[in-house]
Amino acid sequence: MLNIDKCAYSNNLINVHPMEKFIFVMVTIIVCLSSNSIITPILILLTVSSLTILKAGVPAKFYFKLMLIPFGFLFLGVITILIEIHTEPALSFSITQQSIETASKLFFRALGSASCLYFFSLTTPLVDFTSVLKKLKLPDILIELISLIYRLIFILVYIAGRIHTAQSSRLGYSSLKNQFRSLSQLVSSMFILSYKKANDLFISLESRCYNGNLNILEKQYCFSAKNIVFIIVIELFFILMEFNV
Amino acid sequence: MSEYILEAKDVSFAYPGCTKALDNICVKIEKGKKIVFLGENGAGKSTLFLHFNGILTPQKGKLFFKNQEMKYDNKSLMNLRKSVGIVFQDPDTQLFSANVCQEVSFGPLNLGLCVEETKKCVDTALESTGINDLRNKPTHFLSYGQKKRVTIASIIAMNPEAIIFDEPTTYLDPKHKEQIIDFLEELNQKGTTIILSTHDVNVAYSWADTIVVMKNGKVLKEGTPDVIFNNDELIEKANLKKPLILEIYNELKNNGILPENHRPPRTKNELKQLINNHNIIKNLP
Repeated sequence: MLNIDKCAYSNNLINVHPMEKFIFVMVTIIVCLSSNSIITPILILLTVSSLTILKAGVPAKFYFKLMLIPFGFLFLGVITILIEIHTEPALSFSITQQSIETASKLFFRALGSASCLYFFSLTTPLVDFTSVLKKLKLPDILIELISLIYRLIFILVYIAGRIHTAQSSRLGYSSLKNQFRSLSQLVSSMFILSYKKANDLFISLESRCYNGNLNILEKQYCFSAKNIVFIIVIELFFILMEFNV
Repeated sequence: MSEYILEAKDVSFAYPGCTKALDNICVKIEKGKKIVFLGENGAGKSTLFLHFNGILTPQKGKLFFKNQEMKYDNKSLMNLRKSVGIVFQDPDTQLFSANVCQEVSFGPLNLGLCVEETKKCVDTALESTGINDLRNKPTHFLSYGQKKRVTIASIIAMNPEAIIFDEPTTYLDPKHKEQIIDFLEELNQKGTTIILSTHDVNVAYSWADTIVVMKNGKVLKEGTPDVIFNNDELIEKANLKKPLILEIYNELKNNGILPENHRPPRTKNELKQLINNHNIIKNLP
């Protein structure tokens, strides 16, 4: 997760308007999911993956590792569709032409959508994502919760790491029994610490005249005509492919 | 007559289930000065600081801000917190935003400044703390020293008259420590009152205008660095140490190498100069 976040801040598309990325991703996902052929999702998968690797500069090895996660889940899920089970007259398994088609369509549709989501999360820092949500008129409270939770995750991961080190250095994880005991202590102290952290954070916000709203400056982006044309052209291309096949 | 920006009169405070954190504290903070609070852990420094910012309300006694008794309604608190900023010890508890620029913009926007003015405040704050290059960095990838400077910038952006620093130099390497102290000096030159707590007696001795020594929620003594650190009984009682520079100076003086009626050196350079001026090294047997 930390690596995804690092990518989001250090990719080559960081200065592209987040709204452009968001629209691109959402439209592509809709096209991908509503597609009835197998060609369009494969095309989307290839295009979006190459955009992520070549244009955004996400390391290919890291990207493929990430893609393995949905790949694994999908693979297992698709098997159950691929193999049909018959109980009449006797228990038998079969793979039919139709089941292959359904399974592969489902597989590529889902994988194509996953690549779109990866494209977004690997190129857009959370701060930009929340500014998109703000423009979409999501309630402030939800947006503030998202950004606070995001920030606190890093603090908690950091604290958990330190407690874990402190426990390991005293052989806290040397045997199975110790592991269970140490882990339970880690979890309970995390609970208390997160409560304390939240309290401290509130005090520090209060000292800066907090009035119930987390007012912050949004980063300014400019829409680029070139990008918008690119999005329209590529989406039209996907849709045309869908009808041609 | 000197002008006081903050004053605590007979202030007492206890956290639930604990003994008194503050016990009849009387302290006056002079405007435009550098005030250092010394005292062991748990002496009540941080608790007092939270009172100065209106976060905690005293259970007994009164606090004054610019000679006016502190009130705790929203408007008065806004006014107080606008004028008295506080930089907490652990930067992680202060940084809530995922992005440096946004973090710094929080305070000024709360003061009701418009976007343009806020931008200006943020720019000046980032510039003066030397972290302009971190502007778009995510806060969780910063080093401790960088985070510390972001927290300072986020307070400076609100342009307060007084800034409270709770142990600003802990965990910092010598270089960054010096940078922070120099920076505080710079801030003070511009007229900001600086209040800080530290365990570093050398910093306190060479830098402060006034030192307040605290122990067990009480103020033991308030005075100039010379007065405080030449009081052996007080140093013993508050578990402090004598600054190295003063100790060397006293040793030289007591052995008749330096004349009696000299002003004690405050900094390393002053001590060096003194040694050179009196040809101490040349006169060594």
